[in-house]
Amino acid sequence: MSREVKNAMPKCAAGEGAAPTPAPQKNAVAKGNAQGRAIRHARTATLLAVFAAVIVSLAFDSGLGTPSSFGIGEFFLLCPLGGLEALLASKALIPVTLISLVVVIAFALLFGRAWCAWGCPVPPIRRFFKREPKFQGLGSGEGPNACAAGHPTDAGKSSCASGAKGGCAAKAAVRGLWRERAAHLGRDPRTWTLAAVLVAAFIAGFPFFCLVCPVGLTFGTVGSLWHLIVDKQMTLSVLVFPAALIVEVVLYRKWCMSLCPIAGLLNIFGQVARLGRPTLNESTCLRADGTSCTVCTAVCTERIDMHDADGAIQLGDCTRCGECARACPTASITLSLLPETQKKVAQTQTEALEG
Amino acid sequence: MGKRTEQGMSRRTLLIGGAAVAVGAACGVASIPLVAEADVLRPPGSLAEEEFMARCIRCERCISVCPTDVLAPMPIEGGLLAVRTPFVTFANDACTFCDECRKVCPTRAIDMVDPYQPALGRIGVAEVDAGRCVAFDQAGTCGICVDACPYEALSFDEGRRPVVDEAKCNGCGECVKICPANVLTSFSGGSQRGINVVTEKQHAERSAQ
Repeated sequence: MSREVKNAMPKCAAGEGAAPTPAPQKNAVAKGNAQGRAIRHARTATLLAVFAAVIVSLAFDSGLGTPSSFGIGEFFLLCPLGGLEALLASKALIPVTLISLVVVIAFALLFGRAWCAWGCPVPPIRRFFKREPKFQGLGSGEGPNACAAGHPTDAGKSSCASGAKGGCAAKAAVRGLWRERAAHLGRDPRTWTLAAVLVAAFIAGFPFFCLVCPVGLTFGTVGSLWHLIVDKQMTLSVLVFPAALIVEVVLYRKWCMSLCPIAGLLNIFGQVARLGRPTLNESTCLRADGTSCTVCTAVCTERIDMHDADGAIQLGDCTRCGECARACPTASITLSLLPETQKKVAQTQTEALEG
Repeated sequence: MGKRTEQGMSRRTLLIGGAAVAVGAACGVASIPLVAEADVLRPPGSLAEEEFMARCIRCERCISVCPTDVLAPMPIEGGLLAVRTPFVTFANDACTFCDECRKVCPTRAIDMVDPYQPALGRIGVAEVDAGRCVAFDQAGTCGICVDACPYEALSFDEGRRPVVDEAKCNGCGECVKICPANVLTSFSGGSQRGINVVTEKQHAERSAQ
């Protein structure tokens, strides 16, 4: 359990001491946490596989490439940001690039920001240096926290159902879901970094961000180390790439949360991506009896508060890392592959508790 | 969050966002004169330097796929903006025009090229370095580059010194690869040999002199 969780836990325990755990919930504890743990192992394995593939690619001239462009022969996926930049910079519609972009964007429309937790090397690098941003508690500018808790999967549609604040409910009624999503993206600085990056690429006529991209720098470091050891190529890149990477993502610990334009781009598609989102069982959640537990938000890299009125909107930024499911003290959070099961899980868990 | 506008965006957000876009635009404008700075050998069939720079996302797939390892990522010393773009080096081997780099390029920064039609596009052109070539030093002692050229672009002059036929040379680097001048004339292991492939730009400049 990380330090932030410990910080967040006393709040839960405050009041009536440790939460009483009914029998049906105990099974759920094991199950929920097991899923979170399994997801963490799976993520580690995926990331190691990516690094292995890059090294295999260098060693055997197989052309698998790096995550910037990954594939076999003429079939490949490419970085959606790099692809967009190249299109804007060259002012040309490149068919192969467009096809690959469509595939990548389709994936993002289904799984949102999954790349960030499953493929991106940056979070593990930051974790290695123990530079995770600290959780400041809720309502510290992470997002609006005005309305009472709503159901996470439909809070966006019937926002502020409790009507605790009349103005809020009225506004939500006027605003469509899409406007809320747009506003959510507009509040996110990463959306603006994305805009800046695309404008820079268009004006400069070359993919500006690729120069400083931490993903590119990571695999550039791997590549330059490889060329140093195997091909005896002495270049300053071996020192400059990792140094730039450290400045970007270790010294500046909020890269992912505040600056990354890749996250900014994936966030746009993530707003409608339903697969693999976490589902909250509100009846077993400690908050049901008024305990102000914030463990799930504290471990979330995006500081998503599923209990918030706009929880469903916030879930558009979800990276499918499963840390909330792993850390939830009552195992009330499950990541469900399909949106259908997301509802079912919540239902059956509620029934199990009642029955 | 500051005071919200109707869209739910605070004025502060809009200001910061606008500033970010302006900074992006400024960076873009500032780097325009620097874009086409690199004057290096690009993979065979690469688009014109400016267009190549516009498309290359530095994924290094061409570098990883090259079966003869003549492609390498540009080191940081080769120019800040061109860093990690692919360039050709004949230190170890020569280009076979196998077309693999073109196939794997995700943005088609590399186009098709016919090694037998250098006029339509080539890696570069070979130049004999009279100061280093062994045949210039001691006539008749060397000429293995002439035999090595797969495209019959090299021949001997009346003094049995190698001469490049520019119309046939596509810059494949077989002559550079086999040239022993580097070994014979230098103990320092420099990269310059008795015959080298140079870019069209460098060649034009030298021809003008």
